[in-house]
Amino acid sequence: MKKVLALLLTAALVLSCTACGGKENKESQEPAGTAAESPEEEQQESQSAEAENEEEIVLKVWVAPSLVSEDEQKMKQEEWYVSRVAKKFEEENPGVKIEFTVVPDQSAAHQTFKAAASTDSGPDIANLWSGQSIFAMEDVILDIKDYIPAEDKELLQGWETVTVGFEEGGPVLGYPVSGNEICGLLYNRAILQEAGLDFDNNPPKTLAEFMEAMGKIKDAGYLPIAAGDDGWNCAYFYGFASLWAQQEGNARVASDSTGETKFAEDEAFKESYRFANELYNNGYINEDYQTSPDYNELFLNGEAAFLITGNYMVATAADALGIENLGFCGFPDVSADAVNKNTCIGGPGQCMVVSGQCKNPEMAVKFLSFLNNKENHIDLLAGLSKLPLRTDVTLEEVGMAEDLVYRQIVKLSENYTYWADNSMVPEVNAEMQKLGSLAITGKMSIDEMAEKLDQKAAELAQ
Amino acid sequence: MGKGSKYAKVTARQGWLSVLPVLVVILLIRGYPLIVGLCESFTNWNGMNRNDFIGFKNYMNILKDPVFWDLLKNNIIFLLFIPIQLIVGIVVAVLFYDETPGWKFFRNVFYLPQIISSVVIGYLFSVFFSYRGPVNAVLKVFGFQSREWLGEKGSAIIIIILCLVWVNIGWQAMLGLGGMGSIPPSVFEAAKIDGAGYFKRLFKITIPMLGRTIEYSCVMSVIWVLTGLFPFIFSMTKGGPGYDTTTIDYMIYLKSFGSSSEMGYACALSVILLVIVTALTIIQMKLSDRANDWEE
Amino acid sequence: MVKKKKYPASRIVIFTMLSVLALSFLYPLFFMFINSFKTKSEYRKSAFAFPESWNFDNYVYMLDQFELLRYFFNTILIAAVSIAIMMLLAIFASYAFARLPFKGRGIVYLLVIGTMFIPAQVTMIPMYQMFSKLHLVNTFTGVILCNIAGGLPGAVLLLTANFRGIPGELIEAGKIDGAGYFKVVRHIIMPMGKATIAINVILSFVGQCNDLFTPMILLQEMDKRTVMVALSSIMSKTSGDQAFQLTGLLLAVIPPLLLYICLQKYLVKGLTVGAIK
Repeated sequence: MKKVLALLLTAALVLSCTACGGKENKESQEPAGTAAESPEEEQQESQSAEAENEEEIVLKVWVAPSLVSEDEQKMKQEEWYVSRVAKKFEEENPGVKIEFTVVPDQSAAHQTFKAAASTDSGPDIANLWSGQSIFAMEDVILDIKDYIPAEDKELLQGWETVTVGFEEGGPVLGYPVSGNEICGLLYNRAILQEAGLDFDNNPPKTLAEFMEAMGKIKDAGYLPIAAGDDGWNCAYFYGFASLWAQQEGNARVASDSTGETKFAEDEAFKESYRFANELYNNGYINEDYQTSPDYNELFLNGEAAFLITGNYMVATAADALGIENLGFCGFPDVSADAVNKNTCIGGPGQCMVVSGQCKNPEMAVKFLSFLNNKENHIDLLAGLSKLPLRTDVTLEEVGMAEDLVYRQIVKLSENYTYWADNSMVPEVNAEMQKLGSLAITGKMSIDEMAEKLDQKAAELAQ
Repeated sequence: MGKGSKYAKVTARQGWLSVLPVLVVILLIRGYPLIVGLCESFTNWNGMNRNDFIGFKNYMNILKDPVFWDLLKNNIIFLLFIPIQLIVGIVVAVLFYDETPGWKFFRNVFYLPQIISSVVIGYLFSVFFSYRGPVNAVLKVFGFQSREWLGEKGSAIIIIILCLVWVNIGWQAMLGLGGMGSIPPSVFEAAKIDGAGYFKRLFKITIPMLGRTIEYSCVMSVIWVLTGLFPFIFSMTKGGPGYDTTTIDYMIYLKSFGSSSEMGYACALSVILLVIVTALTIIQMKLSDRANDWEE
Repeated sequence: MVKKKKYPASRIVIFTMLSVLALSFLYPLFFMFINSFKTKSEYRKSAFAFPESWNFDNYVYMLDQFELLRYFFNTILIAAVSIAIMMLLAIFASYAFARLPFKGRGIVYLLVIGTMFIPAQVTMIPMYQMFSKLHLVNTFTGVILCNIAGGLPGAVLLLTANFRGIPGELIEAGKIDGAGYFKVVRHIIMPMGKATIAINVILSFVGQCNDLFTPMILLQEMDKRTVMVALSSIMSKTSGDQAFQLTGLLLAVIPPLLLYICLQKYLVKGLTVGAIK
């Protein structure tokens, strides 16, 4: 008992000391504002310190986890791609310091960025989702149209994804980054051969032919398509959405979501879900589409012929099935009068924006341009198995030219359709992420979903 | 209460002074954001510059929306896990107190689910109850058909409740043990000597004496169910299928930190949640005060 | 003692049931353990099987390259300071709520407890903006203040409930013996409530170790992160080496588990010799 008491007492003593310290800190801050704090405080107060400290410019950069490759996660932080680029940039621009942070939850980072953008504690540059997500944040993001070097405008793809309204002439809110993502159907060639199909040379031309081909695979004893919802309707946005977007282009996708046009009247939209639903009803998609935590494994273990996914999966699948056994294709065209034929979903879903609070926009854009220059772009892609965003980077340079599957992906990428989810107003997109799997599995009718989406869009438009 | 007024005054002053630091901290750090949240609930705030007063529109929209009532229903159904957790937890605590064989080991192990990240627990539950998962495999052996456990509202909710109970048994047992720590052992000894059986002791002595502990667990669990289930549901079902396992706090997360930016709406939803939780807590406290006073 | 010999069958049943539960509680640890020795593709192939070889690479990377220990230091520092201050404040306040009647006590109590009811998501943005104005973003002080305020209501609720149960005669006797306010708290309230205090420390510590949200928003600089924030920054939707992540999550269990094991001896039979004369 005595020991316990003594322990508690010493604890209490120590605590009371820290307690006083803590309270003093807080109280002194109330009236005095910036008054004395720990040294770490001063560091982050770089902006105000700038003037005194021989004008050192500090750029705070938030990057998404996707910019740190798996291999890099097992290296020292100094050896990461982002650190390497930052260091090179600092060497070339004396007096500039790059402080980067890998944000843990990119979705939450959007909100934190908003909150930070109205104060001076936020980042100068943030890695956000391109398209509507940043358009909705136009207020707090700097229009960098006039800062972008002409060379970048010409050589870098995907500017439309960061230009408000997706059309040239609008404010440009950032740099597209992190390489192209191309999504569609990754397939296991051996299974297709067994079913007597050749998607490399003679892919199905219509949805009906496609459906028939799936039947053959099922008859051969394999699951035709492995797909999953992953909580955000992922197979739809990776795959089926191309059926929707190709008919009238992304303009229709965007206008449905703003309420100008109606989902309920968008035949291509309904057709894309109807087709997915038919595949599911025929047993051509894994039965547990809605909840499956292991649909990727179905494909990787050779039980399924197709996987609806993005090119990021190729490296993993090559380990499991052999790269020569992999092929990649999109869905067939939904109709003969589609504006965008032979397409698939893709494009740079990520971008880097400059905060409206940034004190040195020119330097920030200079850094973004540096990050995206040829040398650094190749460096980035080496770790990520994504396709180059720069037209002057060839597949040879990133070591992808040898493999048929990458050549197929590149062929598809010539005519990709930008992500439907990034094209929709975020709130409507969120609703479709919730309801999509119900429509695909037939638990909710497509018309009912369309109606709910229209309702949501109308509510927001008010 | 026949105390002198001077004595009462001293006591009151001591009371105020003891409470003051807590009050200051709470008001400063929690009060300000709370008031901001309350004010924003009457606006169409998007987290940035758009911030116009729109009156009760958010509240009207929420109460009008059938989805909200579904979410509330889900929350209320999830409350069902509390009695189960309470009974199992207290029984386990009593067993530990009686030093059942191996109790020291069990006591260490039972608290593990609280410590392990909810990401891992949610993932394991979703894998175990997945279509090709171990649970279906075992059921198959007994001739049952495979089911998509988390794909249907009823079974998904049951599994989430199962998970919540599983996670909280150790927590409840620890609280129970702590609570029994303040019951003089002589009470139990006396009852034993009087020849009271196991169940008689459990119901006539242990549970009544644990009144305050049970009150605390109920209050905390209710708050937890209404405001803190997000990580588990997120890692198990992501609120799906559709909105079937989405709770109000999950919705608040989606509206405030998901891809949406309806902060005003999220604030209004939180205020409604605050009202519900406060009401439930006051009722619980009143009930348990009555129960405990009666006991004393 | 008499009972034990009487019902051996029921004791076996109880033991079996507890063991089954215990196994299920141990399973997640076991799962993380076996997978921490796997490579990514091995994990993909069979997450439930034993590893093909006992390969410590993941641990080496976690500790050496990822520098997990640095994040442990941050986590423990933040938790220790916030819990110390919080408990001190909560003990005195709960004593008053339980034993020192004053006007308005009920309202103040409800006010303090009531702040628990608000989901963190909504107060977080205003809180961030407030802290930003006070220059507390990216400082440990900010997170600590946030943790103190967040943990106080729960602590007060539990301690008050416990202190109410302390026999009034004991306190009165102490006062008659000439014990002042601090002496009563130190020599009667704290020893009597030590089981509850221990529980509170455990709950807060575990809660703060697993908390992702607060430190994620308030601590943005890489070297100030807590373990959970650091780990979650390597878990992204589309990529990531799950075996490596599970290794990190397994290591993250260690500090709270140790604390629990150390403190739980106070949980049973708090009232031993000496407390009641």
